[in-house]
Amino acid sequence: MVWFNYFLTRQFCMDFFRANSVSDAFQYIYRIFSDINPWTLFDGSLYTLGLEQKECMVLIVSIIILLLVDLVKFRRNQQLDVFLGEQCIWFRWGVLIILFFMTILFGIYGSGYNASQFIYFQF
Amino acid sequence: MIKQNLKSFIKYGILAGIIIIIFLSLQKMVVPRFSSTNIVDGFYQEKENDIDVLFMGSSNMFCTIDPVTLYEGYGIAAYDFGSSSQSLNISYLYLKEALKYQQPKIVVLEMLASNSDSYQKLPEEALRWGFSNLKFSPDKYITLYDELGKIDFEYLSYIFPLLRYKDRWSELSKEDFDYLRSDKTNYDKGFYGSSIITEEEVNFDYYNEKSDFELASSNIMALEKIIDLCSKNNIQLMFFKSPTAKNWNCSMSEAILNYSQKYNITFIDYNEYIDDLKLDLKKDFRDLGHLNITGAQKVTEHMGAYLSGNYQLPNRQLDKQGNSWDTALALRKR
Repeated sequence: MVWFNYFLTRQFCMDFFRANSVSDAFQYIYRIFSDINPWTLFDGSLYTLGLEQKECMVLIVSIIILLLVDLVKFRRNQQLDVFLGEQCIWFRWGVLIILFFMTILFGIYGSGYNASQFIYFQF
Repeated sequence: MIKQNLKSFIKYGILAGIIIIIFLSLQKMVVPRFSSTNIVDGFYQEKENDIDVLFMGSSNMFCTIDPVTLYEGYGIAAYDFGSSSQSLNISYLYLKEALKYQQPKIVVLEMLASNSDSYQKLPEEALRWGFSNLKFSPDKYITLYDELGKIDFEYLSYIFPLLRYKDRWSELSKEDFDYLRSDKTNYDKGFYGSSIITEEEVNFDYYNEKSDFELASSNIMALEKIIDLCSKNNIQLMFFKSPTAKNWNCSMSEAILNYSQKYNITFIDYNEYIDDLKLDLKKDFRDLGHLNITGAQKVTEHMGAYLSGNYQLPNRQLDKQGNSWDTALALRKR
């Protein structure tokens, strides 16, 4: 419940952080409650916001991996490397190989990537 | 202790093997197919020591010479082994690669690349077209170093093109997967024919303009390596220039002629044969730099007559057991 409160508060504050002005931020918040249209979750309009369908799949899989890592950390009170060290070799290698190739394939680097334009470049 | 070490060695060997196999498979999938992909992949499918005439050079070569027509008319077993915008030092690399698998009697080099400096950095696409599909070899990476001038991420991305094309993962289609399992034989023998007719006005005004042209020292160096390699392998070398209404003029032809005479190499400049070949400037060009299929047929006919009249080449139509050119011709006629 504490996490949920934290999440909501943070999302609320992010509106002010990312909006161009305070009035825009209030406008966003107003529309969250006044312009409810759940169908937009299913009609493909989500894929017009910057991530295509396949990229959204990667996002979901990545979030699931993060959740699993968090579960290991908070339920078993172990860091990922310690947890993996206790598993059988096939599981350990499988996880490492998957993470290695996800980084190679989905990582943001190479000719189209400029380190100086990282996530905070617009602030 | 030894048993323990051996066990670890085997374990990490298997891990490395799995990573390498997955890496190479992913790489095969994401690297796009270029016009030279089918040419190079097809070349590796050819039976060893089966090609008698090897045509080399850029798109001007593989859009001009049709080996299947050469075979049909003259029984010549030829292959167009080149890549788009290929420089002469990459042609040298291709020749070295070709000689690992084939022992051609004649190498015919298209000369467009001699109009620019071999070591002037080529555009990325020209390098990708040239290097992406060649097999791993020290020569490949030495030539690449000559082209790029340094070892950095870009250089690594030619060794491991997955690093360059990883972002294509979301564009992959069924065709990309199908190509991996498909028969890579090139039944056009490297020829890239197009039925497009250019809407631009084709004329040879630019060709007729004289200029102060000299062969760049890098090109002379590359040509001398090619001449030397052919000589060591008892291969007769010949130069030609395809008809082109841009990027080539008579001064360039003159410079090549002078150079070729020094080494007693035949040079045919097809820009001088436009009327003799009855090339139709309104119908036989795909664009200002390339012929289409009908134009290529006319030049290929002349090339076939010249090769069979001036060189000792076997008529491979008489092969008792048939050959891959028979198959290619049968497919063409279907």
